[in-house]
Amino acid sequence: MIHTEKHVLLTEGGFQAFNVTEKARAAVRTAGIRHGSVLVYYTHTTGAVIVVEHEAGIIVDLEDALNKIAPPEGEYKHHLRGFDFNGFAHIGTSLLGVSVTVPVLDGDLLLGTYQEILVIDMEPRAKQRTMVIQVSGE
Amino acid sequence: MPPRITRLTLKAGGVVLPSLPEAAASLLAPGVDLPPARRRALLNAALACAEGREPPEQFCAAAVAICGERSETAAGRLLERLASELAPLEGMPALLSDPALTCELRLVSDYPAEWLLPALARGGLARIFPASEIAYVADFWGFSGLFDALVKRGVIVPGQTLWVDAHSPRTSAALRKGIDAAIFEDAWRLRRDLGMWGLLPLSA
Repeated sequence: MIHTEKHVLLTEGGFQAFNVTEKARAAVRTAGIRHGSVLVYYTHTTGAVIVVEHEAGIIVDLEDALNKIAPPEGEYKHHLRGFDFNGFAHIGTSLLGVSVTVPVLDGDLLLGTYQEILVIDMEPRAKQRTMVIQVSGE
Repeated sequence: MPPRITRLTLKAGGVVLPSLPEAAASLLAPGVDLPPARRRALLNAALACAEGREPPEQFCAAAVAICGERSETAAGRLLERLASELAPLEGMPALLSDPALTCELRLVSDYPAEWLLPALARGGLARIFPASEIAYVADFWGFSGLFDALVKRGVIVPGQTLWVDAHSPRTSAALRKGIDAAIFEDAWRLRRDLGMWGLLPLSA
């Protein structure tokens, strides 16, 4: 069976982490599957989904690491059209990826002790965002 | 070697108590998932209340309108219910009163005293957070200069204080100001974090 949910996240603009692990866990319970997988997918190009420990220092370190690769104040060809100026966020998203898949075993997420599913939004402006959780299995 | 951190400073909303928007929504529209625009409006109304830009009465009037409650007495009832029903988050009274937690505890409230203090008393936390030692976000003119003000007031001592907050942009802001920080998810995870900071025994 396949069960799909959409969730709206309200961002404030800037680098922001949302722990969506419990939402994914709840979707598995709603789907009622015992074995399978859950896909967490972000429907945007300036935000990503990762599995990491949700620890304050790691969030800052991740932002700093991405800023070294793609500084927010950098010059980007993406800006040439003059529509928006978030080239760094597109690069960050491309590097991190917009989805993760987590196995489901015995009705629960097969995550390690410190693993959490985080949405990382990098869009400079406050936005209304959509995350999709799709549970597949039996 | 004793732990470097000797004080926990916790934000009230979202850590010790539910956040004000969550508390209001659960009282006005239990089990209802508010549409995003209304959620944003409720967040903004709560922020104005936390920062002291609007009084609690104004927040309640805004909240009942946002949640679609039309009764003329709804705002007054919400005001009373927040004072009489707000309760600490599950597991937090037990964690904060754990005798193994030997560091000093301080509270920074985004709730007005009229809602905060009864909730602390109901949760058995009034002894842990004496009213005279609670800092209010509204007294510091809001969140934008909060950390500087808390350091100046001595509520936070950089290098010795761990700031605990459910809002990750604010924990990031704290770290960038040289203040140690932990993201709050729930009491179980905070207990585990405090173990890693050396403030509680590491659970098995």
